[in-house]
Amino acid sequence: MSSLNPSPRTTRPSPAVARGRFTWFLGPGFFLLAAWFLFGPDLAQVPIPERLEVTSNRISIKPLRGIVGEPPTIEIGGYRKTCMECHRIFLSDPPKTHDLKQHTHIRLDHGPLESCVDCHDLKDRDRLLTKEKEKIPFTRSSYLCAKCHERIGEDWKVGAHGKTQKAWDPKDPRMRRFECAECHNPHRPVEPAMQPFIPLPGPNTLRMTKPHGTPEGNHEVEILDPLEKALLIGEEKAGHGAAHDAGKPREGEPHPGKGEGR
Amino acid sequence: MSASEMNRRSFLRGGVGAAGGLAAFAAAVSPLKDYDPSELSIGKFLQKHYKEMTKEEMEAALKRIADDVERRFEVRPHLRDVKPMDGVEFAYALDIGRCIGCRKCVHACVVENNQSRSPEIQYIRVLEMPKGAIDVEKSNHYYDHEKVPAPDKSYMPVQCHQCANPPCCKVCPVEATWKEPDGIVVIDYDWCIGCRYCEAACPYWARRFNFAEPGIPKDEINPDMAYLSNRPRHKGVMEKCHFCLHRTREGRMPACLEVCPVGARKFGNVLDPDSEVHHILKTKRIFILKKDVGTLPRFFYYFDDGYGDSRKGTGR
Ligand code: HEC
Ligand code: HEC
Ligand code: HEC
Ligand code: HEC
Repeated sequence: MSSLNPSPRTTRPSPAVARGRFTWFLGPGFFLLAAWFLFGPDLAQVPIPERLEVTSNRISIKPLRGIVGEPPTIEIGGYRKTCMECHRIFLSDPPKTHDLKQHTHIRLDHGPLESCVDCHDLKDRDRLLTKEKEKIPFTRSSYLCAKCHERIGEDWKVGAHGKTQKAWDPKDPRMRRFECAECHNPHRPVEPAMQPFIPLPGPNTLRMTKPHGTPEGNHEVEILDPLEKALLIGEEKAGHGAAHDAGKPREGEPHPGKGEGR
Repeated sequence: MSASEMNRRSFLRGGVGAAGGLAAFAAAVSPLKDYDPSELSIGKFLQKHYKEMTKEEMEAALKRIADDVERRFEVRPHLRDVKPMDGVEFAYALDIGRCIGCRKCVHACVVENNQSRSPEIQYIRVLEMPKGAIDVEKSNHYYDHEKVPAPDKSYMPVQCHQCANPPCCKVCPVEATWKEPDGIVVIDYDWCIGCRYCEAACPYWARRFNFAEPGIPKDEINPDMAYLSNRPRHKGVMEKCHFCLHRTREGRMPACLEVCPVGARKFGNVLDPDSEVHHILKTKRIFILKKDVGTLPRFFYYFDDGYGDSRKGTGR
């Protein structure tokens, strides 16, 4: 009672009198409450987290690379030129890899391939050349790739490797299958298809805490199962760190610090 | 105690009781404050179940919904009711080894399907887990690295599996969700009562509930809409992936596939032996998530086990 009535008066009213006084306010109190429910602020507001902007260029459906068309042209010093406009004159003969004076952006790094003539026709630069000396246009460059990468080439033809856009029915004229060169740089095929990406934001639901992890963002999933935890701690007794430390050993993986007697 | 005192007391009690009742009533009806009367229409109230609507009734419903969309978002949508195609059963295949966890699919899906931006609703959840085994228990979908793929991680996007034996449809008390002949499990947002039984029944965490009125910026609305797919929803209904049926039933590819930079997503007609998915299901090693629950999903994961011997012709 005293905590409900902190007034410092010396004579405290008896509980019965207090109840009587209190009842007096109940009626108008309820009226105020009713008015507040109807006209007051919204109580049942759902807490909504901030919106994370994703610019449309980050969900573009364009291929990773643009490719050379037909006739093959490149832009040099602001001018579009076909290959033969220059190579009618530049007939550099020996197929070799050296520091090029032109096409300096090309640094061949394609498995064991060492020469431009593995793929290009030295005499007719507007064409590619397979290892069977078959001339093919730039628009069919995937056919060249498939000559060496047979199994992937087969998969690509049926759509299992690479990507098909616009239509799922192979008979649909809208269907468009990406050329190998739209994902892989023919000169350095690890680029860009196999380069790391900056990920788009994850779900931003209201969370109690951020996921566990190191500052580098290498979040390990916390082990919840008490049994698993107990077993892990037993294993680590001689070692260091708690069970949910980043970099903890996973089952079947070698422990980085183990066996060093630490 | 005198009689007049008694009367005064009972009068007071009665008055207090009435005021209390009024307060309780006010509390009960106060949610109606948020109700937008223009949403309430006789047409919506009298609308029949999707499967029972005649062509004319559907036309009327489409017009009513298009008006509603125009009022809310100030764009006239291209809204239609797309029917399944004959001889087509869809399937989805996803190359787990290739997925790098960039989440482009998640956000392309949000934009395509007019999902609420705030509060956030996303149909696709990209799970990150330790490389080696697929262990959903050890997965995390809040990962936030500078670059993906992170070393020693693999990624597994999960969305509605469009099960051939869908538990979600079985638990719906009002038949607001059902399986279509092309295999897509759909929801009639006008029929859903928001009980969320389906959400609980789904083993793939695929269904999402609109806790609040969806927030979509007016200039980001995708006007290409269908009744059973991406037309804007209201508060209190369920939604989920529908294989972009407004696109796929017109022969196009789903939005998540179009955007995938590594080509990990494959879609097509399983009944067509020339289709990508048919080829993949026949020749690749397939993984079915939670196979033992017997839901017979239409969404498959596969592995492209190394092309080690593929580079013939160079002596290697
Ligand atoms: C502006 C003129 C010019 C254009 C246009 C041009 N090239 Fe070249 N290209 C050169 C020059 C100059 C060299 C020799 C560079 C060197 O030897 O250092 C060269 C070298 C090459 C080589 C290396 C082999 C060799 O001869 O040394 C290849 C392959 C090649 N070009 C292909 C092409 C293709 C394919 C195109 C069209 C897409 C093209 N070039 C367009 C000027 C051009
Ligand atoms: C693996 C086969 C292969 C090899 C080896 C190769 N190329 Fe190419 N090159 C191609 C293909 C395929 C294209 C067409 C790419 C496209 O459509 O984008 C191309 C395009 C080009 C182009 C025009 C596009 C551009 O990037 O400017 C030039 C120039 C070129 N190659 C020069 C060279 C030179 C110089 C070498 C040797 C250092 C070389 N290539 C080696 C396959 C090859
Ligand atoms: C003359 C044969 C030949 C041609 C033509 C050829 N490649 Fe290759 N490619 C190879 C060889 C050999 C390797 C190396 C295999 C290895 O590292 O195990 C390779 C490796 C690759 C790799 C893997 C790179 C890596 O480091 O993992 C890719 C991707 C690739 N090629 C793409 C292409 C594309 C795209 C084309 C067509 C523009 C193409 N190749 C044309 C022979 C060829
Ligand atoms: C949609 C983009 C895309 C297209 C189109 C594409 N690839 Fe790839 N390719 C990839 C990606 C992504 C990887 C990386 C897979 C990995 O790291 O395991 C890859 C991997 C490869 C590899 C290495 C495979 C391995 O297991 O080591 C080769 C070789 C290759 N591609 C060749 C080709 C050839 C040849 C074509 C055309 C016939 C082609 N690719 C078309 C995206 C593409």
